[in-house]
Amino acid sequence: MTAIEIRDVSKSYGAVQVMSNVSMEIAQGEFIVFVGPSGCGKSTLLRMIAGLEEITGGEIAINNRIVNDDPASKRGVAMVFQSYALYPHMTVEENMTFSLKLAGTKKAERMERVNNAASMLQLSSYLKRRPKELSGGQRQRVAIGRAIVRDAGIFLFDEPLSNLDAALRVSTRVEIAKLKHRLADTTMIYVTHDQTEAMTLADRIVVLNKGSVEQIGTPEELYNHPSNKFIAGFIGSPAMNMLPCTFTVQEDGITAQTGDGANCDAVFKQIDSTGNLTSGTLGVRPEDLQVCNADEALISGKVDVVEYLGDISLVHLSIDDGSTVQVKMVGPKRLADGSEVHLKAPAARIYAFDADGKALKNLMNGTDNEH
Amino acid sequence: MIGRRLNLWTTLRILALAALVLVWCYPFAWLISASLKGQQEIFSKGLNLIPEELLIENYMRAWGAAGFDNYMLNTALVTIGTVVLVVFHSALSGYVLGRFQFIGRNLVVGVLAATLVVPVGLTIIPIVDFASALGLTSSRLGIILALSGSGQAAAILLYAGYFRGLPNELAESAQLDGAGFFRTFFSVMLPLAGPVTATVSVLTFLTAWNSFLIPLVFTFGSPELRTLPVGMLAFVGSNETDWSGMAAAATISLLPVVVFFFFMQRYFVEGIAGAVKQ
Repeated sequence: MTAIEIRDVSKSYGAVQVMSNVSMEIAQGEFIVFVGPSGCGKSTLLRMIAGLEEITGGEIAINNRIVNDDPASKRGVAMVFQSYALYPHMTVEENMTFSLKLAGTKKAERMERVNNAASMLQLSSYLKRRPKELSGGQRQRVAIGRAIVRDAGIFLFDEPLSNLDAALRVSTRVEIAKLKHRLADTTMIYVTHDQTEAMTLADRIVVLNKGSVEQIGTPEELYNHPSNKFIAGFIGSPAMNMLPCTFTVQEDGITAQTGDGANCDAVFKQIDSTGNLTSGTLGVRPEDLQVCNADEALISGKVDVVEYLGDISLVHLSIDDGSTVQVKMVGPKRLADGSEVHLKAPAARIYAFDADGKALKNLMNGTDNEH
Repeated sequence: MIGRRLNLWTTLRILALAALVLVWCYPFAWLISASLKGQQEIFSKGLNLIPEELLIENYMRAWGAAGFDNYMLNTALVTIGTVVLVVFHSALSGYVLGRFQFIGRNLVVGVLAATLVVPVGLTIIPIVDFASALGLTSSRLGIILALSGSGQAAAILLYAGYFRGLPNELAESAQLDGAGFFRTFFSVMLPLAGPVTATVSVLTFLTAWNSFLIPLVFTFGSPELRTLPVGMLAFVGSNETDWSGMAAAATISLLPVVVFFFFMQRYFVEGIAGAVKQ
């Protein structure tokens, strides 16, 4: 069942258009993550769903009812803000019951809901405290608890972990993942710029860029089959290495040659266009590159820096055209600065993009980049 | 050497501040001293603060015979009413000016700022005329409305600055919780503006308590409604002035102000500091 339907939604501030023709359907119980670079419109889209921001065009429907003109309080959504937005003069309990009081809920029921949420979030012993007496993680849990007691069908999270330190971010992320399982029927939309949060929490990810949707898909789909160069570069950490290349169109497919003259083993096909294809970009993820002999190398470069991260080493190479390539290598690697390294990648793990950045189908990996 | 120079500098500063405190406090000490002296002694003793004999009857005379018990009640009622009304309307005005964008907002702020330099005496005639047309002269309500209806630009701007600094998410969170405009204002925003409310309350309390011109004009025909500052006139006769009675009355008038400020000073300072920080 569709919980939220967004149809051709656009948003402009005066003459400046910040979102254009955004459409998607979100099923009940689904955990959707909006991700994208700063200023891509992910928070604006969330706020438009919440009713905190007016939409300029299109429609938003919640549970099959168009809510364009409904106030935020009538949309059946609860929101967790980046800054927690707890009322500083109220106790945890008062913060959590504020919406219920306004809705005229009886005291006994209010307390029951608060106690349930508090025990779920391990907040029972903090109910009489004020927000300033809590740690950042506890405050964020209160903000989530406030959403839970409202019993809303839709939870909206606006970068809820951004204000927490690294360790707390990881543990709270796990808490949210557990919450998702406990509240299986609740639809959750989560905004973040952190792709680790997106990949670990999402049922589906919506990647936004410059006010438009670039791709919607499961984390696996986005990682393995990016629809364009932007997605390929945005999903995955470190980012996918991009190499300028030239294409040769042959009868049995398209082959590619890097700027250095190395031939790529993979064979590609244009997905839904037949335009003139001469040059473009090859993409290889840092984790797919392996050291090899010079004669079978796709990329050759000199070692710039080696970052030792414990389980892996991240090797930065500079190649002849002046660009940089990153390689993930297992374990500690003692490579001298300036030493030459030759790298290859399995043909099935090489991506290709035309001059407009659109992905080509890799005929070697059994699937394609179509989304 | 440096330590010695620092000590000298500190001593000089302490002496200068002590002199300032003396100059500041002496008139109050003289007032209390005069309130306990006889009529002749006030002038014969000059600057000497110690009375020959403590004449408590000055206070009895001021409180009872001069009607200061009634004036105190009037002043308290007028002051409390004014403080409540001023806090209510200036906070609400400041909230709208500080947090909402509307056409003419800057003009409103400009006009408010301009009224800061308009002397009270200039507006007294239209205020009395207006109150008279509404039948509000010779009433405490009339005095309260006249005192709280004008000259509150500073309070409004103080609130506007404070509310502007509060995060949007609080109002948005309240909106999602189902709170409307007034509920958001009273339940979320106003409680957070405690320091500003304390500052505005103290300033309004002092202004209303010591207000003379408006209560004087409004109580011309009703002496029983006079406030303390107006009642002070009773000690001034056509031939002689009861200085010791007046000093006792002034001390009685001062006492509630001092007590009120004593309890509110911490919040008052917080409010001023907060407003500056905004």
